[in-house]
Amino acid sequence: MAVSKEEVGKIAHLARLELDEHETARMTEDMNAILAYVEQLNEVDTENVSPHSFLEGKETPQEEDREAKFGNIEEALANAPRAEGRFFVVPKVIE
Amino acid sequence: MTDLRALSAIELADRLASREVSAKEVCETFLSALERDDHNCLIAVRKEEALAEAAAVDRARTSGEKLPRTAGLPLVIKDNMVMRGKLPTTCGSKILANFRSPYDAHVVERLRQAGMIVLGKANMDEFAMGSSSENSAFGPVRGPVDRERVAGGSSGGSASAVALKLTPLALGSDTGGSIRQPAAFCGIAGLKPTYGRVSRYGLVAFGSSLDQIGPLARTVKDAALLLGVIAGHDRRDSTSAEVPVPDYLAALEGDLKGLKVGLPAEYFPAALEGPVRKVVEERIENLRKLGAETVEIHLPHTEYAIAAYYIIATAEASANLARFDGVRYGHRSSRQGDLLEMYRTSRSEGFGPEVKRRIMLGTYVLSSGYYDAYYLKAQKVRTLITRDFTEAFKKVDVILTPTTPTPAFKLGSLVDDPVSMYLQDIFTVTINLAGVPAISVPAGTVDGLPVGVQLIGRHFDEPAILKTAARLEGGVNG
Repeated sequence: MAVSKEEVGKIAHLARLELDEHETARMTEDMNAILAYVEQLNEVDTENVSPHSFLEGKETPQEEDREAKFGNIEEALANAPRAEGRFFVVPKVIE
Repeated sequence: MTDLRALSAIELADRLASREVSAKEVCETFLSALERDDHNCLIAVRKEEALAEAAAVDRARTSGEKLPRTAGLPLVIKDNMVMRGKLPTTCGSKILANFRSPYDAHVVERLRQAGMIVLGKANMDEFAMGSSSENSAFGPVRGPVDRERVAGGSSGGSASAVALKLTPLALGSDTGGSIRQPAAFCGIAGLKPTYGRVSRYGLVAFGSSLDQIGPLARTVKDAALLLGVIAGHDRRDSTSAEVPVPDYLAALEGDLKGLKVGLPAEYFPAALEGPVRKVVEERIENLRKLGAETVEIHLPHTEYAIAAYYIIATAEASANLARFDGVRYGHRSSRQGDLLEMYRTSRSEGFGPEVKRRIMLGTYVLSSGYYDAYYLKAQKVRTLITRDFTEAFKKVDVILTPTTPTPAFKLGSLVDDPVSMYLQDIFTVTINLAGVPAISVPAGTVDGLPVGVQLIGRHFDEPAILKTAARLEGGVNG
């Protein structure tokens, strides 16, 4: 399977990345080289093989649903590119 | 006067405990070495806070307080482990250049409890994506033996700093070889623990089902000491294992008589460079002389590991890195636009080319229509790779392989060829896919450049690989 420049553009949109024309061409080339390499997985017979899970044979640990205080609101907000009061500020979402 | 930099961490700990040397003196010695470093090992030196902590250790010791064995021992940590304080946690990325964590990673909490002193944040490939520590927004790390060669990656800053004796110890993280490969290139020991052995809480996620934090040190004993500090259960990482932590230093004692060492044919291909093969074979001969029995084994799905790894790791990375959106932390573009444009411009300005490449590949393999062909297929192959190890460990106690196919390569020689760069990890990624532990220890040199040998163990059998590695390190006399 090979990807086209148009598909790379669509994937970039899904990944929330902006690629210029030069970057798109380069990305298409790189992705096709990598995808050609991973093609070899098709040689492996995986009939009746279940997909790996690192929790195999283990129970997912459960936690009690309990209210807890978030310790450090000021320091957390200090990392925000824009904050006002106790809020993160983003460009207007609703017209 | 003793050269404090030449001492092992254990020796330093003993001298600190007997008050032959103060924590402040030790701290100042390494800080001044780090400040003079011209290999770009660190992104930031943690001077004031480190000195204050060292002084506190000295006061406690003078007043007769009972302190942990490690109190006052310095180290550096890879800059993808969050730490509260003055320094940012950058992950080697422009997108996090000014991020100051409001909390400590689990390993940082453990270090603090152990009285250890973090001297700085080590340079790395951006978001731990790379095999050469060239993909850093803060410039490439240079190799300790040859400045024109790479230190390996992604924990290259940690490895190079330990090899250059700028610190006795370091923490790195390993998703596909990122502790073991730089350890091999720099001529030191580096251990990737069993998946779940060390909590990932506060480790900036790359491939969550593969990532593991581990120690880098100049001796196996020092690596065992540091593993003992960071290992153990933590409920904040749901994959952290509730398996008791053994005494790793005690595990180093004893001989290798009767130990069965597996040699997987797939890791000694015809293409393996002659001089590397020779160095590794000499170490195998050492093990035999020390009483170990070697057994040829097969790990038949090895050749598919890189392909499966790059699908799984990039898929997980694309999901993990979605959180960098310019809203709560990290870089936000100054360009005007709506919310969607803000996400796009902030991410595009903040991430470097290799990170973008992996996000793109991960997004592609997870996108509708391709999920089964790539991601699901890779996860099935991962099951087969894991089974290869389960089968092999029915016959042998540890498995020995070269850590890398070649010694350190020249800076810049592979940056434009992603597939060749990914193939650097050919002997190390299987271990992360299977979740087993592995250590790289120095095996010798080729044209003056270090070469490593990798010892792989059963899940949670760090004691066996540490003991074998310690005997190997001791040469024919064990």
